[in-house]
Amino acid sequence: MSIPRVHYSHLIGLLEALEDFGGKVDVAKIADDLSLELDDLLPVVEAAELLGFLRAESGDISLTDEGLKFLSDGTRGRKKHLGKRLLALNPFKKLIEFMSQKKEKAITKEELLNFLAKELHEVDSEAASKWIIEWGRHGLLLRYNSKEDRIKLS
Amino acid sequence: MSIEAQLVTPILDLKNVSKEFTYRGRKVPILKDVSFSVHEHEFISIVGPSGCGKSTLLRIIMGLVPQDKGEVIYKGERIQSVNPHMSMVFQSFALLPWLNVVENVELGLEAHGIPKEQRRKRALKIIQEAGLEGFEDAYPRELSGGMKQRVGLARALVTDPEILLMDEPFSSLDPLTAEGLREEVLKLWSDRFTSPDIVIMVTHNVEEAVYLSDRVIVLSRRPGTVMAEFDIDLLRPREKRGQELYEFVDKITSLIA
Repeated sequence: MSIPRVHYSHLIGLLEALEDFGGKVDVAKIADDLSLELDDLLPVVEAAELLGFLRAESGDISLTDEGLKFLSDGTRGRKKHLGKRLLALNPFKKLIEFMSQKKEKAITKEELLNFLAKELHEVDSEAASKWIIEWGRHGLLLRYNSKEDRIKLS
Repeated sequence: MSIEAQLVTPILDLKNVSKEFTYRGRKVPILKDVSFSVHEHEFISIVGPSGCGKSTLLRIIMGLVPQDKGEVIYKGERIQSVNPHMSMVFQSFALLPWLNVVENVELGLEAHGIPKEQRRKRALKIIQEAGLEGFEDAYPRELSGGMKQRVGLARALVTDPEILLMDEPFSSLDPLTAEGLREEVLKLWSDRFTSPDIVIMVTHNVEEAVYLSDRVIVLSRRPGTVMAEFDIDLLRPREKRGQELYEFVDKITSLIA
């Protein structure tokens, strides 16, 4: 299922570092510079690519116009920009549609897990739900109160 | 005070600060005659080998721990209790697990005797600035390390401190997260219209110290004393991987090692 599966702070760190390198760099070089194993860096590259902020081609990674624009945004601008990019991803789009039809536009964690398994055929719905909630919060699409077991559209 | 006097009078002045701890009946000197000044709008880093008393020094500056000898002078006045114009960010984040993000941030205001409604308003404003919007009702266990430290930062900034003290703020974060968060702190400090005006950071990462600071203070092995001060006279924004930066890094590293 195509959702970012790294922390937001990793995305930001990679994009900032990429900008320092003039917007384009060999992926092994940037991994080395950041003292990261390629195994740790590649999922971040994938997430950035999925969101359209970065392009990976024959060992090089480069910032896209979208990525440059995202970096130049302020804190709030980045969140809104990210929200738009997330909505372009099928899992988020479908989930938001599903939640819009619910009473008070809210669901429980259990309902989210079921939705991920049944509608999106996610194998590990527990893990996927964490990433969905984390990115949904970052992109100001979702709010989640674990005490009240309530996931709500923003 | 005349304008001339203000220009030369440091905001913070440490004079011969010394500290000992007693361990199994033996006195262990931690800091010895530490003296330096901090001026308006400076970003200062304190580096040194582990055990040189860097963190203790930060606590003495804030007034959390009393020094045995010497004095800490803030705008001409001797500090003898916790200085309300300062806040601290900790390496371990120091968040309360049973409180959500807003509540953890509000905690920074509780000691300042601010009414509840105003506390919430200020907390929400700083949460936005710290990039935590959308996470107001999240609990610490639901947060990544980077987001936890953003909460630590927001809690420190909510009191509008003039001086932000940071004790190894990036060292428990992974390299990518640290990279992004350093830029964020730099942005907050660079903006002259928002607090803080001064940052004093303790770190063992010399590269980080040089990249961020106007001045790097090098402490010696225990008992820590000021071995050298380096003015990092490189223009901002700085090139993180630049040759000039590495010359400073090499000089400082060779002193500590």
